Amino acid sequence: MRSIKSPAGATATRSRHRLRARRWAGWLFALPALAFYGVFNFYPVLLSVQYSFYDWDGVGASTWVGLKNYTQVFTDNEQFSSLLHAFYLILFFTILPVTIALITASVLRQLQGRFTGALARTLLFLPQIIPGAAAGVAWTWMYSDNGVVNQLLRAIGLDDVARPWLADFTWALTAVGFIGTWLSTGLCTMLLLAGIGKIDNSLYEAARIDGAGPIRQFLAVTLPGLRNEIGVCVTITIIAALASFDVVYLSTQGGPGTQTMVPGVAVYNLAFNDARLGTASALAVVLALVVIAVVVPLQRLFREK
Amino acid sequence: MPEQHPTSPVRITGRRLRAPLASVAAVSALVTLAACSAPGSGSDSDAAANPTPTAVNTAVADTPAELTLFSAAGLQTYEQGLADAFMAKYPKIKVKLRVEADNNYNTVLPRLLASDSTPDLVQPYDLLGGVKDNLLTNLDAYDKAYGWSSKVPASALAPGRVSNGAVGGGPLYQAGGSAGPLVGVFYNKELAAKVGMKTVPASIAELEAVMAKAKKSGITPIVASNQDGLIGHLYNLLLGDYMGAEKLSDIVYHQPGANLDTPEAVKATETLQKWIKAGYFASDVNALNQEASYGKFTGGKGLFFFQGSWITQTLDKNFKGKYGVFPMPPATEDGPYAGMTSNTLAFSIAARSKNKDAAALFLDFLTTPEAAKVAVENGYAALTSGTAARGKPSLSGTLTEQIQAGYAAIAADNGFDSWLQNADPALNTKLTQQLQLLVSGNVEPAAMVETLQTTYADALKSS
Repeated sequence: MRSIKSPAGATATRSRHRLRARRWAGWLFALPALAFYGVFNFYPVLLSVQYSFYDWDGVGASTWVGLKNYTQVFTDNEQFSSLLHAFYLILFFTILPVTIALITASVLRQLQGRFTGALARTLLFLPQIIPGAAAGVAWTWMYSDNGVVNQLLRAIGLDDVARPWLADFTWALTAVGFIGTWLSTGLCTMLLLAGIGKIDNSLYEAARIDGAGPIRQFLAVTLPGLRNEIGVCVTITIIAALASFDVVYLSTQGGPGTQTMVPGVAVYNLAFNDARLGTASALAVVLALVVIAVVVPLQRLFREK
Repeated sequence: MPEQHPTSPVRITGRRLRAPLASVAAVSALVTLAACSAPGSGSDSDAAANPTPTAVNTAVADTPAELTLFSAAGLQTYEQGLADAFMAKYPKIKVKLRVEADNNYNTVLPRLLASDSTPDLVQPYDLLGGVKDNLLTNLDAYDKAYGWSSKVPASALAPGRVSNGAVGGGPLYQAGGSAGPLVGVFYNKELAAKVGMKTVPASIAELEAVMAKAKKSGITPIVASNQDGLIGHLYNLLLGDYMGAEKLSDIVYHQPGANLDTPEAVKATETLQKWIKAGYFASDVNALNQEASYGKFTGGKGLFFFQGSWITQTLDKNFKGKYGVFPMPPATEDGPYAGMTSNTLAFSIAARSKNKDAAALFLDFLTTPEAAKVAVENGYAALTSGTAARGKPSLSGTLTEQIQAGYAAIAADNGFDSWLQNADPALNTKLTQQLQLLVSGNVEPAAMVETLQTTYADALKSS
């Protein structure tokens, strides 16, 4: 057998070997990054999962409690409602910004290249370079009893509507949500604007020749052309909504009462203020699963066919 | 900020990568879960920690050493003052401050104490937790060597003693001299004159009368911040008034049988609710934090400010001489005074400190008149410093005199208690939420007291 092995077969085996070697060589290059990923991302995640089965104050001895922390997440009204609040925030962190961004991006397309276009893009993107923490603080002033928001409302005669927004039981979560809208809109606009730039101009021309007006053009050309970018916008902002922390922590700390409590702040409180690391980890794990459960189907939805 | 990291969602993971990745993940998950023991089990066998030293050395004044004192930003001036006075007396030993933001102090403290770079001197709120986790040094041997128990009033050391999960007796874990803040009613002098307040209100009813008058003349009666739950100072004063200082302290110190759900506590809560409904607070009090409330008080936006005398360190910068303080009036005229305090001249030594002997010398220094002087200069009252005639609380006299007089009045009635939220960290979070609910009219006093008691009972069960 060995003596009559055809040269063609030998080449095939050798190249398969080389292929396999090359495949492993690739992994070798990725190794440093993978090591970092493992130590700083993967390992902490596993630790959180482990902690979630214990009753632990973060320093002393711990006791195994099985699924108790998880049942608590779903039976403790405060923890469960924080999850619901996170979903409510999607309206302000995702739906509103993406809608506004689609409209502004289509309008800005007409202004591209001109000075006004550059100015508009800069202004829109500005909130994006301000840290959420700073935005949270700035907005507490604007929302306060004598802040800008109420001054404007009073100036146009809406004295009855003016109120200390973040202290208001009914409106606090919505008020926090609008801070998110303000933060996300710029990012979405920039992403969608970049996407619009990639759409072949001849498509718009063709649509125009076929007699399509601006709205028809938007629906038939812009929207399908932006499928990918919208997907990215929606994914990023939904994660931002569900996992929000800085904006809420700095504007309300979850108050008044627990009206604006979100899982991120609840996890922080449980872990660092209440010294209940097990419950905090369980809530964090549930939050991570919720995020995955929401984002993965969206990924499929927005994937190009 | 998640939305600032537009990392594109992982979609590139093709089938070829997915299988190995998944197996790597699964294997390491199994390895990790199987290999690691229960969290926190490693710290007990730690050789670095020695919570109960027996052989102690008091002749360390001439041995060069460096101590780290963990300070909260709001107390930095005061604690630097203590460190400077100590270094003036013992030049061989350096004391360095490590400063943390006020609201982070207790959040980071347990982890710092468990770390390899622990500060030597700390002031934990949660003494019980620190003792339970072997983070603090049992000071009995030092007490014997220096004779603190005979030098310092027993009442000043009692809050530093812990045994069987309760504060008040047993081994000493926090020691020093005796000085503390007066938590009481700060008032804006100009506005007080405007509403005609000429004497210190002698009862809650008289205080109410002044506030009603202020409200009528368009002055907000009470400045407070409640985004951070600091209406809690006022609430705690009312609890002390109606329950009595001892009953309140019993809860904080986990004495057996202590109970918050009492008619007296409900009465205290109803009083606060009445003031809320009467509009004695600014409408956005739930959205204000402490810094904002300082601004409101010094900006003349309200008459009273229920706070502790540590605020003088901040307020004196631009409001010196324009405000005064008197102790919280008793529930009824001639009734006993009650108010919270904490021993600001007492510190704990970390169990993992490498300079325990030098740190104990610092604690001994705190029992001296030099240390008491620093405390008084920074707005605290010290009963052991001198015996200058302490008048009754009055609206005249300097701020320092008013603080000393108010503190003495409470001490004379044995009326010192502590903050309810110091009973357990979980109660702290819950109290803030409940106070916000009370302010916005979303909880009734009886239900609020019941919720707080439930949180307290749950915390006792798990500790």
